[in-house]
Amino acid sequence: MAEMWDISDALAENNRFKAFGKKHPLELAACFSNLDHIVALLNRHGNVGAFQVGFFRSEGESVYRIGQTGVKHAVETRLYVYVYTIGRTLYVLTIGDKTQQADDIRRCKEIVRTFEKGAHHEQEKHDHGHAGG
Amino acid sequence: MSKKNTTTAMLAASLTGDPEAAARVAAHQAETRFVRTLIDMRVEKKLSQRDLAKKMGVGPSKVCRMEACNDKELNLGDVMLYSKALGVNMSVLFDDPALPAADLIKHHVFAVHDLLEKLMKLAHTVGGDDTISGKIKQFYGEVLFNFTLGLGNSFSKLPGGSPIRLDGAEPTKSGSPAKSASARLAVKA
Repeated sequence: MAEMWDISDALAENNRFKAFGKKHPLELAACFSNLDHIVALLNRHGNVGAFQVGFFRSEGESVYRIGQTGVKHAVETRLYVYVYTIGRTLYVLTIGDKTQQADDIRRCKEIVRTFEKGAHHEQEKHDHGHAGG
Repeated sequence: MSKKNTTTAMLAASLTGDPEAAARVAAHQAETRFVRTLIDMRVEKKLSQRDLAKKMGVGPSKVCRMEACNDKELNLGDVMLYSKALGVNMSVLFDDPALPAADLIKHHVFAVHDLLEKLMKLAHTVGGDDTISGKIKQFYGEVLFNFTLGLGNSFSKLPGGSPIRLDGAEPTKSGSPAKSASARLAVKA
């Protein structure tokens, strides 16, 4: 079996979750339940390329959206996550409905770019520190 | 604040500030368990939704809809078609807790017997001297022995029951043959 994946809210837009959870609690629960399924699939198969699931779609730059399923008359909901493969971590980013999709994706990608810039900077410091002895 | 090593239900509750969110996530998981199993089987077979739809002889949207619904919404005929397309046999077990234990035991014993019969037929198919048939024979012997020993131990605990002894074997103190290597039978192939 592949190494285990973690989930984290370190990069999450907390206010969006609070607001969305009040308005659409069942859709939010469905998305998190599906997130759990994605984590199980990653633990079993190792990487996102190893499986295809209808409610899990790439939006580019390691940002993925998880849709709601199994909710009658649901508002089309998207839970956005960042698949950080090196760290085997799924970072929950934000949640929204279809009308907010374009802005949500744009913001998610900015969050990821900032994070990856910081991670790259830390790696350079580490490497430089080692090289300096 | 980073929360690693947490569950998605706990994460939902934490992010929304609503403890009930965790229960709603758990409820959704319970309501979609069967659908999730179907998806897992398809992924295990390395099939996309489109691949499976082709095997089922339906449009891709049919598979998409099946995998997007909850368990109650699944149609039995569709599930049978889905599992057939995966090459997976489907069997249904109704476990009625109101039934007497004796009926439940009979049901499971007959099911085990059916499976052992299938194994026996396989042994004949591959030939009597083959390594595979030898291993099947060995497994068969171990199953028979451990069943007899285990059930015999249970029988001996009945009021008025007496121990059942097998040649060269002692019932284990724990009463569980699986826990004691000495209580197992090594059958020569």
